[in-house]
Amino acid sequence: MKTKHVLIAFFVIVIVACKDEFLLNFDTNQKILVVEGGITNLEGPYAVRLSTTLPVNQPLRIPLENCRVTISDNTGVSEVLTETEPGVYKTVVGGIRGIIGKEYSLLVTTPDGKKYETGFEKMEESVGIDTVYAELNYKESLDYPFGLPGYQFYINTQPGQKADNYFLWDLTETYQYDADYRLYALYYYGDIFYTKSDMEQIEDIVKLNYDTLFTCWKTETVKDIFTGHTSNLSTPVINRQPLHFVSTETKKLSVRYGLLVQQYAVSKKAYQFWKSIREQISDESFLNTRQPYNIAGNLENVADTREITYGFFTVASVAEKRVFYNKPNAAFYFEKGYTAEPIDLHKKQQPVYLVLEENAMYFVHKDCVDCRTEGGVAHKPDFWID
Amino acid sequence: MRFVFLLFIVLPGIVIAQEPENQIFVTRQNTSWEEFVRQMEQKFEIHFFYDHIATENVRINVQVERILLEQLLEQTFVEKDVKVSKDTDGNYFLFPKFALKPTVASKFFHAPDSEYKTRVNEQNNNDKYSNDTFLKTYNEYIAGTVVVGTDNITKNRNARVKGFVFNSEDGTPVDLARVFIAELNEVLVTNGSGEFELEVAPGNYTLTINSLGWHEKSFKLTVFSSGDANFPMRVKSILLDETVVTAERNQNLSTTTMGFEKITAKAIKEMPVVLGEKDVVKMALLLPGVQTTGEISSGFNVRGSPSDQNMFIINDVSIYNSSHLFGLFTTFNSDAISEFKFYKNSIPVEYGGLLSSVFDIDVKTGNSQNFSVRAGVGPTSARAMAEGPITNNGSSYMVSFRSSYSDWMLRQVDNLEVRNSSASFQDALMNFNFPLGEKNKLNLFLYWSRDYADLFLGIQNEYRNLGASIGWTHNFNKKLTSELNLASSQYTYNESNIEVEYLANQHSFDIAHYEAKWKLLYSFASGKKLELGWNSKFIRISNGDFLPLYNQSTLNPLTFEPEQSVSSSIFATYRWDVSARFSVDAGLRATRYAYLGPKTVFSYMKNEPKSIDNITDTTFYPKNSVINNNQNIDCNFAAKYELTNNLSFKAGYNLLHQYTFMLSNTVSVSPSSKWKLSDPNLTPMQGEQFSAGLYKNFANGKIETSVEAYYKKVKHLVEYKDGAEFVTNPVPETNIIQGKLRSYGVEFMLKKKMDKLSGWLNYTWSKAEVTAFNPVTGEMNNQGYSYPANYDRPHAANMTLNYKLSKRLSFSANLVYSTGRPITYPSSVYYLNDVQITGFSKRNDYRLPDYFRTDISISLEGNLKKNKLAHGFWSLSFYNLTGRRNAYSMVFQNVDGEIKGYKISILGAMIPSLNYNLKLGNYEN
Repeated sequence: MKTKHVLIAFFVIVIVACKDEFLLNFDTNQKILVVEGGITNLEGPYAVRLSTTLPVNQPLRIPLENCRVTISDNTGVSEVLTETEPGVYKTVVGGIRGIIGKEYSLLVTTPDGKKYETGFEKMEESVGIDTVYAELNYKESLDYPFGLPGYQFYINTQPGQKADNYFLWDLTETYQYDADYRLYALYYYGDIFYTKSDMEQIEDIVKLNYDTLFTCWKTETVKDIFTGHTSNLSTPVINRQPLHFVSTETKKLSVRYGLLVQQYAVSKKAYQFWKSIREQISDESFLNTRQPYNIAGNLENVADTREITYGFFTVASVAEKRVFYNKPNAAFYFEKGYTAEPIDLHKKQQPVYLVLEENAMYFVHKDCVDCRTEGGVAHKPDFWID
Repeated sequence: MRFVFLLFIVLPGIVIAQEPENQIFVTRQNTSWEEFVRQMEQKFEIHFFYDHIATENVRINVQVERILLEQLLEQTFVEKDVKVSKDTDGNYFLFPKFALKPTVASKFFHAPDSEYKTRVNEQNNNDKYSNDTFLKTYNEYIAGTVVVGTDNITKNRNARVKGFVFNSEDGTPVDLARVFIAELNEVLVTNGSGEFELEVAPGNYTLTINSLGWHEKSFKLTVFSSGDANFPMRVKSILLDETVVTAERNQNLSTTTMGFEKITAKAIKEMPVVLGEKDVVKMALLLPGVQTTGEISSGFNVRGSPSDQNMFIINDVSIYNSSHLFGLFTTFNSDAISEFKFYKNSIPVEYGGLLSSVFDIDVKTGNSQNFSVRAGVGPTSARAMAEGPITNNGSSYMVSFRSSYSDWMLRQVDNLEVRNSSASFQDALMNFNFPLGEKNKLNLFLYWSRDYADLFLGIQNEYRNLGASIGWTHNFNKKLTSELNLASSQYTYNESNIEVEYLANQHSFDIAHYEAKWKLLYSFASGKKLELGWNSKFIRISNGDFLPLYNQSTLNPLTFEPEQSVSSSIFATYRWDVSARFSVDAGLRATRYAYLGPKTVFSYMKNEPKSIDNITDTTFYPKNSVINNNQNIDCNFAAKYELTNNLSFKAGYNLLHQYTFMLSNTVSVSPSSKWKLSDPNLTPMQGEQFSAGLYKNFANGKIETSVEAYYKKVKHLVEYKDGAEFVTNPVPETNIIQGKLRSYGVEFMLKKKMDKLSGWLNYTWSKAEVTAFNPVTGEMNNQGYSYPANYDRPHAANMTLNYKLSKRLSFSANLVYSTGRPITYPSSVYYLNDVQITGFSKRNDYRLPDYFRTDISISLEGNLKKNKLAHGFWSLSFYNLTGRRNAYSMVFQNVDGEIKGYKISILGAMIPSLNYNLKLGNYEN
């Protein structure tokens, strides 16, 4: 926290500061083991993903295959995980199950015989979520002189059973949105089909169910990390912990927005790891005067403790809450489709989509009438509450 | 990226051979619709798009001589309710019920989507970077799209747009602004209320607004229907800064002293005026062996040492933070300085306590004859100094005050965080002198400085220096002098933070330093000199309280125990001129350092990392009890041999111990860095320096040259563990690794003394390397490997020149070059919870680009008449004349999944500054 303040403070006195792209010349041969995943008190199967780091200029995961991956607890129960897809190792249905109070560790043996393990870590008592709520905020911004509206989400926890509780919050958002336009008709090799009367033909042509074209639901993880703890608070309750901010610059709030918060109660060590990660990713956007360093994970090479690994095998108990919010009463700044290069109709790019506006029809691109092109699915998720 | 494609139909290379005005006439015939279409498409470059069902069984029956095609189509299809439309490319559309609009509907002229917007910004940005949370320079910036009207109704009627152009800071209207609409090639001018009116067809427009004294700005305007639109503008202003002066004079051959510089008031007056306030400390940065991590660092680094190893004293008052505004200014007014001594080697034993260097500043003694005032005004701060007699027995006073008013500059920065922040500083000095008879002199000195910053995100901080000293000099006779000094100083830092409500807090710390020093100087008839002394320091560091702020905060208040220590030393220096050419200086200082109660001290398991889990014992020591003791001998040996009349060889050895450390986990030093005393868990640092040098003068001493080489070793260096946290940590030792520092280098110096042309040129080759690895406990940074210190700059060269064209006009320049400082690069990428995380190279494995800067300044003195009331002078200076964007740091960002590096430049532009200075009296006094 402190450092960030200092960083911001630096800005204050920067009279003339410039930022220029600088070509990086990397040493890209480093291959470091990365572990993701963990075990929770929810029912399995649990997954552990193993990969190696990548050169910064081609950031894809390189899965680490053919490892022997074992989760064990402190009472002698263990399970060897099965590789279900490259680099992803899973427990079986009905296999090992996380129990609060027990301790768990992960053991990995790589194909070249190297052994890595985490120490035993206790599954902490879970702490409930009291409320997750949003408030309409106007974020100051140079682009929006009157502020960029959006929902700022907050969480209040229930009181923990002990004084020091450490949390990691994982957010998954689901939002309902509409395509930019409603399809009116389809022109297809000289025939015109209307959505009102020719649904069958249209469905036949575009292989879709017309009803679902306009409204979609999209689920995404919020790509940010949120952490907090109660050890320095007078009561073991967190009130108004800020989560993410969802602005009206995208379609996310345009109809209805749902947020699933998973609250992981973790060990202090896990908290410190995730807090460091959070500091590192938020530091990247400021003058980087904090000494950057590699945040070592909890997987250790048994034979060489100087070898660094990344990632954390997280042992956690989970509480969940899902909330829904309708579109805020505020200005929206997301933008719809825009005019593009002229298209040669004579090349018979068929079908052509038509929309009706003010007693006139217009040709539009598929993206404007089919919400699925924006990544959503056409059917309402089971958990969705209107 | 999504497209709405409309009827912009491209027919490659077609020129339509038609009747004038593209009219097509159809002659008498009776054919089927399909046949008609086939013929028409063959004959003319036209195309029909139609609905098969609607046109089924339609026949084209023309009974007149000729008929316009459109007319014919309309007549034919009117009954079937098929609407005919046509575009400019010769396409005909026949669809039932609704006409297809041949023109583009306003609705489809949507603003570019966000991706497109980003691209537009990129194209318009010089630095190809667009994230508005950053400081940046734009050549031209297309602001966000301004949307007028609602998009749920599409009227093809013209829309009335009422625009309002205003100052983005306070909302006041900008009148007589020129509004250019590119698409219409039309210019409008705002009225007295900053308004203009526009009647346009719905669609997309680009507006460029400019006005004298305002930044030109372009806006994308999307008009759906009538409505209002707001256009914020920014005031254009020029940023100014001020500048420094310096010089030095040295008996470089005959003394044993090495690595020493002295800058006097006279020299300050004569030497270059470059960058900001007259600043002797900034001038010291142009000396060989002195480095910083960047333009805005609160500390500096001498011969490879971290900045907490520099002693900074002003009239015997220790200053724990000598920087205003994070290092841009020094915390005192250089007008008030009489002499500035800088030791980076052979540190006299009367100092002691810090390993690397001493900056010893003497404040001016007030004029005991006449009252005098001098004042200076610059773009960001103003200063004033007054001096005069108190009574007519020779006593005098000198008072100086300085204050900033720099907030207006922050308002100009294109960054909200900066714009909504404020920062200010003040400092004051007072010096009183009382001669008490022939043999006694009494001196009283007071010092104060303050910095305040209110930052955008709900963070406020303030720091102060407060100091006082009393000096009594007694001359027993011509040979024996006694000096007694009592000094106290205090550094206080306060911060409040309300970023997150439940974590809102305020915290503070302060350091109180009390010191007494008594020196006896005896000069033998033979020229030998003996100095004996006693020095005692009491330092108390209160880590303050960490308190919740406001009711919403649920933080537990934390209280930290203060810590205190006493160190007492006796010292002796003896100077012996063995022969006319050979001299020896020897100094010894014996120190007993005691860490005192009340304090709770933790014991840790031996051979295990110091962590809370490894605490074996907790002991509380009552008030004033000695917790632990350290006895150390510091020494300084130096010898000089004059090979010829103008060539000397010198060699020296320096051993020092340090008992206070600064706790900081940032690359550059910040005012929030806490201090810590050596305690049972932290061994005092020990520094050794070996040095040797050759000194030669030319042209009767007008030109001095020297080569000095040094090798320095620091044991028990205090390094902070990766990710260390000190604000709320009751056991800072758990975040510390004691490591090693090794530095060495060679410094070349060429100096031209006062004349028409004066100045110096130097070059330094050096290395500084840190190792933080405890093989016993396994604690380490950087996987235990050595790494270059943050301020390690192997090559550095500085030149400073002053040329006096006449008594009144002088010109000066600085040239500064150094290797870029080392940085840690991202070397790999990995994912956690789908968030992309960066892995880093070994610490400081890479370097920033080289640093290079040119400053020039011109000073014009007022007339040189002897009898006048006041003398004024102007100085015009240009900092970073070439506007080179020297890298201060590097940030790495994820752009579309790829890590890109950006260098951040601070003061990365030419900064002109004009200062006016005034004093009572003529040029000389």
